[in-house]
Amino acid sequence: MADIRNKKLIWYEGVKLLLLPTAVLAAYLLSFCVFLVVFPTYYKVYELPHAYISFDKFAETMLYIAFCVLMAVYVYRSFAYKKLYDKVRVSPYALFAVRLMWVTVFCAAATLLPLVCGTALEGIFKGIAPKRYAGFAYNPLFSLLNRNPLYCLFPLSVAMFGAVIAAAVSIVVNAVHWAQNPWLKIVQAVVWTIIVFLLVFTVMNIPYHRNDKMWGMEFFFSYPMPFEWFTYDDFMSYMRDTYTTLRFCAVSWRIDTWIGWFGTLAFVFMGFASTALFRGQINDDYVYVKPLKQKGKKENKEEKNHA
Amino acid sequence: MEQTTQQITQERAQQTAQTKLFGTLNVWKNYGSKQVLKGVNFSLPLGGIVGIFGLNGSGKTTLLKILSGLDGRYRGSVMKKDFDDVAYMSVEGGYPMDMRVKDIIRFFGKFCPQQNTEKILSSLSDAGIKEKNTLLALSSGMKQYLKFLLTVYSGASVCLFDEPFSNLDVNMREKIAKTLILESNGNRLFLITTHELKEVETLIDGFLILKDGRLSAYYVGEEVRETTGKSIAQFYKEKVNG
Repeated sequence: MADIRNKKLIWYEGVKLLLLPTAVLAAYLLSFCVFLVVFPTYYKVYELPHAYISFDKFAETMLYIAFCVLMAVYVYRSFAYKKLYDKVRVSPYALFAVRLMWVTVFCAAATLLPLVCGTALEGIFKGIAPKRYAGFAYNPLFSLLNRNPLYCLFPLSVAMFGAVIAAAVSIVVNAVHWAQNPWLKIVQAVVWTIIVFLLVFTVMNIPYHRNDKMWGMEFFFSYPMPFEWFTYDDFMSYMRDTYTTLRFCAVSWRIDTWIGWFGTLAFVFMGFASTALFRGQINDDYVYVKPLKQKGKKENKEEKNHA
Repeated sequence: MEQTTQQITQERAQQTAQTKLFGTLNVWKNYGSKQVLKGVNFSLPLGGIVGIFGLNGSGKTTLLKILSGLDGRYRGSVMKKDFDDVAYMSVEGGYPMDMRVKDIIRFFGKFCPQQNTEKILSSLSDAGIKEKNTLLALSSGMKQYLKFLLTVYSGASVCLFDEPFSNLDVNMREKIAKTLILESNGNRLFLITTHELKEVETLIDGFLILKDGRLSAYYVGEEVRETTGKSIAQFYKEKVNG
């Protein structure tokens, strides 16, 4: 049975899982390259702040899109390729571990790329229009300039969020696979989606005091959605007016609290546990007679009994 | 120098111990309150083509799924002595419909290193199935044939075929029968479940009958024909209805 050390499994699944989300990142990178040329040449000095903010919002949107595409591919492959992998005897644990690894790697990369690009862009902005930059009061999401060094942990935060969502999705998928009749599958899907949603939502929103120090990371823990569902000002006033903040939109995970870390580990554990519970070989006698070299006491005994 | 009886017995015992065996020990399986398999026992040496016959709902597919490792929810043991590779051709799909034929072959090739990709490709080409087609574009018979080829050329020691002749026209049936004969040898065991007894009459070396959740003794095809003077189909019909 192919396990986590199987390099073919790691690379095959990696390529298939990340192909589309990587295309989104590539589109972002291409846009950045174009913008890098256009930004200092095309825009007039007074237009630079607006252009810079627009590109930061664009990067934010691309992160959302890349994340959503990744999760869509993850869900599709979890459902559609289950039987195929079973046929070639790839362990469901190995498959989950490999996918989880790629999700975290991709999420980290998908955040690191705009972070580096955004920092470079802000540096260029500062370089070409220092006066305009000095009066510029905008807190970009993707920039490390003038930031607490811990802001570098933004990719880790997104990677952990990716791991949590992937684990949550796997719990639902495993539960659906376990059910053997269509109605039960629907019931399982609905029930487990509600359960994992509530769990993720609860861990995300365990109340914290607004004055708690977050060591400069607070901005990426609760940045607003990039779409026009509500404005940035609305969101900030909402944050100011409420003692606790309900988070449901940011692609990031609280890494400044033990709850955030414990929650991530708990979700990953639940992902493996659900694989064992819903898809594991309940009958562990299956390969009880192994090749001679690997024989254990139990196997020898069983074999003798059979003979 | 003549061998003593004791030596011969010892030699045979050693040979038996070295024989690669495949089978089950007391396998029980139920779906809810319905008991499908009630202590299924059998043991076969690797080599040859063996049929598993039974009426609809007798548990043939369930047994094959258990043997293939796809279904782990059962009681008892599956015995695989000295090998670990089992390939299974299922009745139902299970392949993503958007996959191209060549991608599926490549996928199996990655995880089954002993796969004979060349033979699969040439057989597909003979049958007029294009590699670039997606599964969606294939007829059910073509998909069935593709599944058969992936199983038979997987290089696995044991190949389990669930209804390999269903949905197939006469030409494809003939191709499958020929391939089974050509590919079966002393080191590979082909287990076939089918209702097309006439199709496999001359193909199989022996067969087992699954009835009321239990497997019969192993019947050798030739012996059945010689001793009873009946075809396998007639013999099976009597056994199953008797």
